[in-house]
Amino acid sequence: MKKDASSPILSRINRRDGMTVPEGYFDTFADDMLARLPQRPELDLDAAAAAALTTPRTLWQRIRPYAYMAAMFAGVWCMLKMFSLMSDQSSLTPIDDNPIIAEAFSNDTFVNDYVISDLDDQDLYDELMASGIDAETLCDSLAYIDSIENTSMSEISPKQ
Amino acid sequence: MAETPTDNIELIERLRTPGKAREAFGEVIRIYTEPLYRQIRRLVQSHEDTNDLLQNTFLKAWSSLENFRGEARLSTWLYKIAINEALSFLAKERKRQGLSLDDQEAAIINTIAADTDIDGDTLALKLRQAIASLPEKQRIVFNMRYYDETKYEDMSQILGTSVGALKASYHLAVKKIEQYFSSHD
Repeated sequence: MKKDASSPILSRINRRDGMTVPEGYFDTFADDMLARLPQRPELDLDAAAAAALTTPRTLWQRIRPYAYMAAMFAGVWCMLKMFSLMSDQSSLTPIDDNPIIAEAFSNDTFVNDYVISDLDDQDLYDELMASGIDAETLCDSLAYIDSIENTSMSEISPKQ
Repeated sequence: MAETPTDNIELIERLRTPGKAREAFGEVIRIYTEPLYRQIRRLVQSHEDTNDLLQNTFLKAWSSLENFRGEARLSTWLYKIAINEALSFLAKERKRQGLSLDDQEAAIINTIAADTDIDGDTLALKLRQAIASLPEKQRIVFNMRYYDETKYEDMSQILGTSVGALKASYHLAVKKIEQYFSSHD
C-alpha cells in the first residue's frame, strides 16, 4: 500500500485504520441485512404478478375525477346565477318614481340651498364651458342687464 | 472508494427491474458492506453505532431506490447516504448529551483510546485520535483520501464541494495531524 509522501509522519504509517470487527461480521451482515429489508411489492414482484395483485378499480373510482369536475362546473354556474339574481334586485328606482325626491327637486329653495350651493365658481365656469356658453359673452350680458336695471331704477327713484 | 464492478449498467438495470431488484440489492450489500462500514466507523468510532448506521444506510437506499436515477455512480449515491447518516447521528448525539463540538471530539478520542476492536498498532491508533481532532468535514476528506485513496473528483460528487476546496482541506488536515503528533509525543 502506498504511503503519503506529503507528510513525514504519515509516510511512517501504513494506510490501515487499525479497526477490527467482531469475527465473521462481514460474512453474515449481507444475509442478515437482506432478510431485514422490508417488502416492496413494486420491486419484489415482476410486472405481471404486481398487476395480478392489484385490486381492479371500482366504477366509482373510475368516474370519480369526472364527477368532481362536473360538480365544480355546477358550483361555478350556481355562483354566477346567484350573482346575476342579486344584481337584478339591487337596480335603482328612478328619481321620478320617488315622490319625496321629486317634491324636493321641484322646490327652488331646496335646490338653491342643497344642490347649487355645493357648486363653486370653478364648477359653474366648467358647466358653462361644457354647455358652450362663452364666459366673456356672459360677462357682457350681465353687465348689460346691470346697466338696464340701474337705468330703470334711476328713472323710477325721485331725485333728491 | 469501492471500485466499480457494482457500477456496471447491468446491475443498475437489475436494481430497477421488478422481480430482480431484491436479488440485485443483495449483491450491492455484499460489495459495499465493508467500505461503507469503514467509512462510517472512522467517523463515529464505535462498532455498535456503526452497525446501526450501516443498516440504516442500506434500509434508506432500499426504500428510496427510485431516487437513484443512474446519473451518479451507485457508489457515490451510497457513500452520500452513509456519510449523511453518520453526520446526522453525531449531531443528534451532541444534542442528546448537550455536548459542544469540542466536547464530542474529546469523547471520540476517549472512545478510540478505549477501543478494544483494534489490532494493536499504536501509530495507527494515534493517527485515529489525530483524525478525530479534525473538524467533521476535514475528517471525512482526510479519511476518504488517505485510507480509501478516493479521487478528488469522486469526493466532489459525494460531498458537493469543489475539487480545489477538497485539496486545500486535505492539505490542512495533514498539517493539523502533524501538529497533533508533535504535541502528543
